Amino acid sequence: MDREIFDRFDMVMSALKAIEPTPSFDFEFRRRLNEVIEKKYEASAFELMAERVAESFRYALLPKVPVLVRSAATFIVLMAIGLYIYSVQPSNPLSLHKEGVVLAMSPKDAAWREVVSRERLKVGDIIMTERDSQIDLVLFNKYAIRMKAGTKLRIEELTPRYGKGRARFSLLEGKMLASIGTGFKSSSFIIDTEAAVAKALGTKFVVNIQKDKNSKTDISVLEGEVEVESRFRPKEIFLAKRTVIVGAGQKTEVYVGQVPLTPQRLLEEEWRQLEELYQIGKKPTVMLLLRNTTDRVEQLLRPCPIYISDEKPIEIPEIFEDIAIKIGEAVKTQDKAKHLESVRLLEKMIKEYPNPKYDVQFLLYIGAYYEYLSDHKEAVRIFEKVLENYPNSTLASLAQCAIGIIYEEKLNNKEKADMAYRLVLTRYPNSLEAIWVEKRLGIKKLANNIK
Amino acid sequence: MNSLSDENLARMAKEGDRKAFEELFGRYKKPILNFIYRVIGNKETAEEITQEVFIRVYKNLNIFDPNRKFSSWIYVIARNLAKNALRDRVYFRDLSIEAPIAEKGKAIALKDVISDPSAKPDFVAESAELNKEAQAVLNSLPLKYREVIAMCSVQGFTYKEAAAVIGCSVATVAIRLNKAKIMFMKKLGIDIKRPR
Repeated sequence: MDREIFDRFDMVMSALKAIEPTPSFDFEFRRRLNEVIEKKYEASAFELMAERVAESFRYALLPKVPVLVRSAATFIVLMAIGLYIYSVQPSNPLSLHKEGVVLAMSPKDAAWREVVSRERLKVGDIIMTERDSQIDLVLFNKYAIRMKAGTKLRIEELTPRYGKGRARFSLLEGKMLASIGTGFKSSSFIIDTEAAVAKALGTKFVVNIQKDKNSKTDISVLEGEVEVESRFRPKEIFLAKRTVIVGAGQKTEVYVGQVPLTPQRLLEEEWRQLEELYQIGKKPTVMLLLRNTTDRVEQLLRPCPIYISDEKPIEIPEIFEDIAIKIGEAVKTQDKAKHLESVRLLEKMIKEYPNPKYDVQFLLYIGAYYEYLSDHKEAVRIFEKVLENYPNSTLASLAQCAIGIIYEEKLNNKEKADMAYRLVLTRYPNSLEAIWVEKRLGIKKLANNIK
Repeated sequence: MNSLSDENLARMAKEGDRKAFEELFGRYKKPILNFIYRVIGNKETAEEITQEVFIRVYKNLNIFDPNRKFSSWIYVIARNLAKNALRDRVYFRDLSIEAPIAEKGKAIALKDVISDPSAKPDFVAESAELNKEAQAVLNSLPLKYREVIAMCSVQGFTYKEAAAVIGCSVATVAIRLNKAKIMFMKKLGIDIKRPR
């Protein structure tokens, strides 16, 4: 029976209607082909000319020289070409994996423009990430920077040429993660802030500016060491150290006008936060398909689809394939028991194969899935898990806001809903969900006033 | 020109015979376009890539070995370009709770055509809905399964021909195709065991 179905499958697939090329297909192809042929002729004409010039030199100008001299000359020419190629290597970082709105301003234009993907940024450019936006600036094999939401960074110097290079950035506000690659080990990578100068000594680290009345700079190091120097020069040189070395697993703080604090060990939660450093410059494996608008949380609870990249190496456990098939079956049959089985399997997968690269996305998806199945308490439990394990994720505000919505609309617990909304405003004031909550509370207030 | 083999045409095109190249283009444009379309799932992109395939063929005719099969060579180029396009444009495979593959209340579903021995497979060719459904399921499969279905089931390649394009053994193609079919049918809701 199954063999018959297999054969019928082939018959059905071979009967699929073949698509026809559009009428302009041939014309467009011939135009492209003609261009290629023209270029080929131009190139061969140039080659012929170059050959003739070389010939004339060979016979007219240059006397016959011994083999050794010729070899030496060839070697020198090749070395010169190699050195030239090495020296003209791009030194400007590429913008990659942009999320949300990222703007840039070059000193010439003095006007903000949107950064496009794979754009090479130049010295003097100021890059700014807006709410819930982020971008990676990458110079392959050399360094990668991730600018988190609400960050402003200026490129001061870029000279990674002739072996030793130099890259210097000013962090004007916000938070950036930096990861230095092997190709930049002997070079200097420096981050300036209002309070301090951080010099990487082959490392992965995070610099964060906290703008309050005492504007301070936090520096946390995951790997290697960072030399942190205060901009402040103490009058009594013996009173305090102006420079400290922050090692792996340590952090320090520098207040404007003060010397750096003695490095301290990172707390476990802070360690977890730094794991993001391993993901800079890499494409996300798992994404929730959400538009970057203020109704993101509503899109999540609809629920939104989750997208898994086909790119290799595939990091999702193989068991996911079976779960995906189960979800497909549940969708087709609209069977709640099957749906519940699928979502529990997904939860089990996350528990058995945890990976910070996809945990948050999958947990949010599972929470939304429970909510879709009207299992509100389970949905809240999962969203709380996100907040507990990944409070600093860019998606944590979604979980907090979703809890508020479920309490308000489904569980009729106004008190807990208000508390969840307040936490969105206090913990994630720069998130899109904060705008959503402000709007929601504003409307509620208006409705109460009318009553 | 019609009676000449692909390899002879390629040899003539290599020597600068534009007509020979046009003949090759005429012979392969539709199969290549359809192969890429089945892998990519988007007609516009498939057309762009197909044109690029022929440009690459033209540029690399000087390295083509006439002792090798031209069809294998062009499909290797097509497969590589399709894979690159998938990688560069970050096509994703989605898993959506609210996007059922087969619409409810439809007169006849692909599932019925495959599992019901009395249904005519030719019916698929006439039904735009069924074509769409088959492509949607195909798109949801991982790339390595999509390409074997596109080659062996849709275009009627032998395992040997498909193995030459993919660059693997005949046994690998057979195993992959079986797995692909099971996966495809599971997505349609047909419960099937591996045939022995």
